[in-house]
Amino acid sequence: MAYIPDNPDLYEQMTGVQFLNFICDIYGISEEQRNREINKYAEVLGIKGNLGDTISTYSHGMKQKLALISALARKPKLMVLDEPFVGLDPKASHDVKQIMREMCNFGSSVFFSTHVLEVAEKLCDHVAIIKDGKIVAYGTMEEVKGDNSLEDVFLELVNNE
Amino acid sequence: MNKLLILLKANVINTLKLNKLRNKSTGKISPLALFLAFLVAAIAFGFAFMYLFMFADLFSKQGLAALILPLGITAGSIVTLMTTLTTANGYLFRSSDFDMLMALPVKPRTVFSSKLFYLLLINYITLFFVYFPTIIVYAVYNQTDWIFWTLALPVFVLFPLGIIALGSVLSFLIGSVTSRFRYRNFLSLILTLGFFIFIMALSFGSSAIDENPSKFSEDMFRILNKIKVGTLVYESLLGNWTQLLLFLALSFLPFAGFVYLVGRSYVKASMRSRISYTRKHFKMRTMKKSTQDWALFKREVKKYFSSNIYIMNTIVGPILTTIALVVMAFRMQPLIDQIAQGGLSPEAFPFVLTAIFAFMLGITSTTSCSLSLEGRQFWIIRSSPVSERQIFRAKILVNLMISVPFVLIDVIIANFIIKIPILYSLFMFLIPSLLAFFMSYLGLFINILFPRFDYENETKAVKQSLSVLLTMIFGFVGSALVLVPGFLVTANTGNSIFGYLIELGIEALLIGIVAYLLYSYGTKRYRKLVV
Repeated sequence: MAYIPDNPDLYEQMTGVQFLNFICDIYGISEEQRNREINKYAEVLGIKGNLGDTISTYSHGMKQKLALISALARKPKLMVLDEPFVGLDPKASHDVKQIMREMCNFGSSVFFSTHVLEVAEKLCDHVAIIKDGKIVAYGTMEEVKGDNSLEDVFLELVNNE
Repeated sequence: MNKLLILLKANVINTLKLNKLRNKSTGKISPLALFLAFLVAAIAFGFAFMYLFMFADLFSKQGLAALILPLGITAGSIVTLMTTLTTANGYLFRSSDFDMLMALPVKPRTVFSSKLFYLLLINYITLFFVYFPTIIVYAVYNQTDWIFWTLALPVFVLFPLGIIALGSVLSFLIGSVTSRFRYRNFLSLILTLGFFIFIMALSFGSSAIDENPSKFSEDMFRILNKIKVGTLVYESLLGNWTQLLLFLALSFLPFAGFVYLVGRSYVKASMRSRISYTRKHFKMRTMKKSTQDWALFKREVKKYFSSNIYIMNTIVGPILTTIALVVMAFRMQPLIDQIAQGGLSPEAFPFVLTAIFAFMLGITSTTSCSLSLEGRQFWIIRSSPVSERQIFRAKILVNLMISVPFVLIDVIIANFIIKIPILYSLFMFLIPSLLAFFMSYLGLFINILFPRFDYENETKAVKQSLSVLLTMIFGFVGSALVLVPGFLVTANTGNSIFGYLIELGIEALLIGIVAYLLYSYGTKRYRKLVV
């Protein structure tokens, strides 16, 4: 399993590549896998050229991308993300969505929270709506929203409960 | 309310976390928190008075009891300069609330003033525990008059001003220069340490200390006179008006100049201080695999060497002991004479040195704040598939890595000073090293009980946290528990081997107790920790 918080605080004094190597060591990732996956995702997310810099020099979006790469390099069966699109530029946001979809297509699960209902509607197979810490609706996207938009269903649930 | 006061109030409440003193339900200040604050203050005063009386007693025997005042003031000045050098750039120019404050309808000069007042406040609080015990102990051993007591408070207010101005400028310059380099923290540490070694070299010039040990106090006066601030304050308090005027000028003018110049260009200076340089074309090399334990240890080492304040707070004791031994190595004969004059036989030399090494390692440990320093990044290690034992081991190893080699070097230097039999050398190595083990376990256990994750500046975790203070106190008690029985046994039997063996036995017992506490109760507490 891999978990990434909404505002990932990383080891600021490590370089990006040192941080990724540290996480791979902790999770016992083989050299072959870490080199392949990190190169691949760093390229896709456009931070390969910055991996030699200390994390303290990274923007919020770059830290978000680095945390994501550290999770993806492990090829987790389940990935838990808290607000993964906050701080990402439009291209990175698009790439992350594609990566998440790819992971699901290859048999992994991605569990994430978001306040952007359009993203959830377009991306998710299953959805749960939480109000005051309790799940008030759960099911496949079709079961939950029916013919309405997810936003309408959400507002109705939140206002009526 | 004046905008400066509003900012200052917000800064003090937020940075000193004053709301934590309040009871959550009633909103009133909790009596327990107040009691703990008083207890900490009382302990700090206790330590200050203990050391000052010890030195004053020593000086008065040589007829130079007055030395305690310039010595105390000089020590206070060095603490102020060190604190300012290591924190001013962060507090004044790189504070995390800079963007928010700049968006407010407040002049940059006002923002700068509020930050500067806070820096002053922190220094005054620290100095309070040095300055007032110093003048009280001075008054116990020397005659004082009404001028002394009338000037005591104004001098206290004024004397750190010039030092803070100097420290802030140097801190800013070091921060600006090093930001261009990849290993900026290491470089900044070298520059800061270099500055202090430069000051020490200026003060302790080759001719400063006389070969005759009985002239030690006179030599100290001469050294302190070179540092100036201590003797200047001393002369001022005694009512020497020309010295008082010079003191006023040297304290106030640099500070006023600093406030005026930085106040005019605060935004520019802050922006410059925030610039970081990056390399855009990093070439990926093949990454090598390590074991979990090695990766954790490397991470701890990297974290240790990335924080100047952490290094300065934990390595200065062992470094000073080693420097003192090197100085002794070049002045062997006067030292042996001094030992003989003090009624101590040269055979007792290894025993005394062992106690000194052990004491230096028994008051500090890197582990006392290594958990706190995980800060908001604690989630990384918390969500990793590694056991508590592995995490603890990596933290403990860092403390051993920086303390045990110093003990070994010290034993080798001691052998240059005086021929020490191999068995005694072994004890000299083992006793302080085992005390370092004890301190490693103890510091970590206390840090688990009292972690401080929510800090803006790591100085809070390293210098101003309860776990560090408690480790120091319990370390002091632990060292006494080890060394005092050993000393008594040696004194009574005349055989230091028995003393050493007693010390080793007590150390083994203490390590067993604190290791058990760490791996049982400490592990349970660790599992419940949240940031």
